[in-house]
Amino acid sequence: MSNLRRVVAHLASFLQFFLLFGLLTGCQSGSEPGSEDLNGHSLTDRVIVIDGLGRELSFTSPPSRIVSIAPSATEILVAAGGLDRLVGVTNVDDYPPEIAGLPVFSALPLDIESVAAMDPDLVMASDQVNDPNHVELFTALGIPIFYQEAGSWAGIRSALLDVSMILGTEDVARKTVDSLDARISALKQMTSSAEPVTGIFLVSDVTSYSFGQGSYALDLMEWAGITPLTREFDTPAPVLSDEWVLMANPDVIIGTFGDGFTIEDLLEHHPAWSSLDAVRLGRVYAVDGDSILRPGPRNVLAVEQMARLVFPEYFTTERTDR
Amino acid sequence: MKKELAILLGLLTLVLPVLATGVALGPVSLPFAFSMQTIVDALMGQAADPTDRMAQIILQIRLPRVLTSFTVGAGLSVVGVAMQALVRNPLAEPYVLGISSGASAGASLFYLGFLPAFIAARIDITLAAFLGALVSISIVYVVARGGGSLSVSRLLLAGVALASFMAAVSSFVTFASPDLNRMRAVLFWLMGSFSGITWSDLPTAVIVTVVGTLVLISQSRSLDALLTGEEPARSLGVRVEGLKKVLIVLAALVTGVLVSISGAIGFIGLIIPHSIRSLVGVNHRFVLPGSFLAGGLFLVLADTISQVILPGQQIPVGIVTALAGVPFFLYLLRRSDYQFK
Repeated sequence: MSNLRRVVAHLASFLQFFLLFGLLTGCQSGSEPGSEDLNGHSLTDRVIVIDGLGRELSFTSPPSRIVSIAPSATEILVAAGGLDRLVGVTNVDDYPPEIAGLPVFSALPLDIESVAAMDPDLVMASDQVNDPNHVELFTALGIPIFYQEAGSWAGIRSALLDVSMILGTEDVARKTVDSLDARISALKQMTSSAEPVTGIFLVSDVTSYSFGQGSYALDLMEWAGITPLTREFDTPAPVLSDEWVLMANPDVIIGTFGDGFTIEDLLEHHPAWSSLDAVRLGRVYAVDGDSILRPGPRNVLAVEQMARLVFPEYFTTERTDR
Repeated sequence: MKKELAILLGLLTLVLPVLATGVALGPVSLPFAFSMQTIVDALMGQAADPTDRMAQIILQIRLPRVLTSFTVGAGLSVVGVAMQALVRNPLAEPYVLGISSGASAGASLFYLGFLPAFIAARIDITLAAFLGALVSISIVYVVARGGGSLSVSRLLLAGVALASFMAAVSSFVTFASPDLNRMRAVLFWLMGSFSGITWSDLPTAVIVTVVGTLVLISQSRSLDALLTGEEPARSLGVRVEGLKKVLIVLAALVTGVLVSISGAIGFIGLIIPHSIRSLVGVNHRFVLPGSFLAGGLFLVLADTISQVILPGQQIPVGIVTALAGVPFFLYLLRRSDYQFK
């Protein structure tokens, strides 16, 4: 922060006081974070967690009214065993189905006022989509906010465990995480013996949005046995040119192309791609959007779906557990 | 003279009712009496119960938001007046001259980490927005200035071009940004919003806007003279070159600070000053305070409407300012008695 800004800030606080007749002193006291420490709880029944922004949060009792301000945060919260404590979700939340009927509020721009009116004792956010600056306002409102780390599978995994610590549901979450870990290592083992396959992921069949370095989606592809060629881009969200794709000539193209997709849809927007190996051999696959685009436990489903499409020979018997 | 004062007084008396309306209306419906009682209690120094969620909504969300939108509306309108006097053209305003886009570009370059480290370490986002605005308006002015006189057509063309260029800079850094999370923030700077405003956003905006307005009001006579032309102004004893520099720096400062808080909200600086001139005439002693008050009132109402017009949703305030403000502005222009100078 520059000296100029500091001087301005000093002047500012004076003027603020002057303008508002001391209103601030009236409404900010008592909403300091951590004031619940005075409830007489001993230090031992306190849960301390670090969130995705590196903030330390401390809880003396498990929260009972939770509002989630991001669909991915909802999914991780539910996987951690928090479904019955959810009291509100965004208007774009659609998973799991059990959340249907919960009160909703506008996600973008975030309707903080409606969130506050739901009287939550914890707000769940994602460090990928929610504004870190909301911390200040929620703190002023006396509502703890936890930003789940959702930029990598390791982050998602530890967010799930941290959330369960806050909720006091470690047993449920531990089981969930163990089962996810087991499914991932089974898939990794299965695909490690397979012939190497190169691939690209496209978010749409119209504009070639893809994933680059630093995106968890590339890890998911690798676990499914696909070497992502877009790892050479040093941004997590590159837009691929048709010519780059032609030169890269991936073995497979995977995308969130929607229901009823056919290779002809792709060629309509990218006619030159008819010469690609993936197109000629029919190795263009549509996968479910939310399970890969939304960071969370369902990412493992996306890995399974990709592996099953690319290596059908390894999946002779249908799995029954989703 | 009496008519002008009456209009200013009228606007002044509207301030409290409009602010009260802004505080009383929002996505969550709260009784009007409760909203007012909460504010009165706070003003009396009676601390609100920190566990009273509804009181906290009034004091921590709505009050800072309403005061900030008033300040931003007032500041952008006053800058519009100053720019119109500077270039003696009714089309001038922060958005058209590329000042807002320059501020957005400066803010996004800073926020996304595209500035060299030795610069980034010494400034913050408000200063970055100010510098972006200053660079933008300076280039526009220098280009239009060539040959000893200010060409109005060159100025407007340069302004429109710079606005596009600076918007492209913001878009470029958005696309090149390695951080998905930050893209959302840049969209905000291009569209404008008061969502998430807190008390700490307010002081800098208030100081810059109030000081800027007072400086301009103190120069009312010089601004009046400037509208008649630089030569006549000089012959009246106005130090034209100095005044122009003050106007440019002031416009960049106010616009930069406001854009860094609320994003770029367009055309207020055009609609409000002209509406006020159609009511009080061209004398800056009345145009400046009138634009200050009307701009603040207008943006508070627009922001309130943007929060309640679609149940359960909020829309960017810029949509409302354009939908509501432009037709009214066109109606005023249609009135034949409107004079700019």
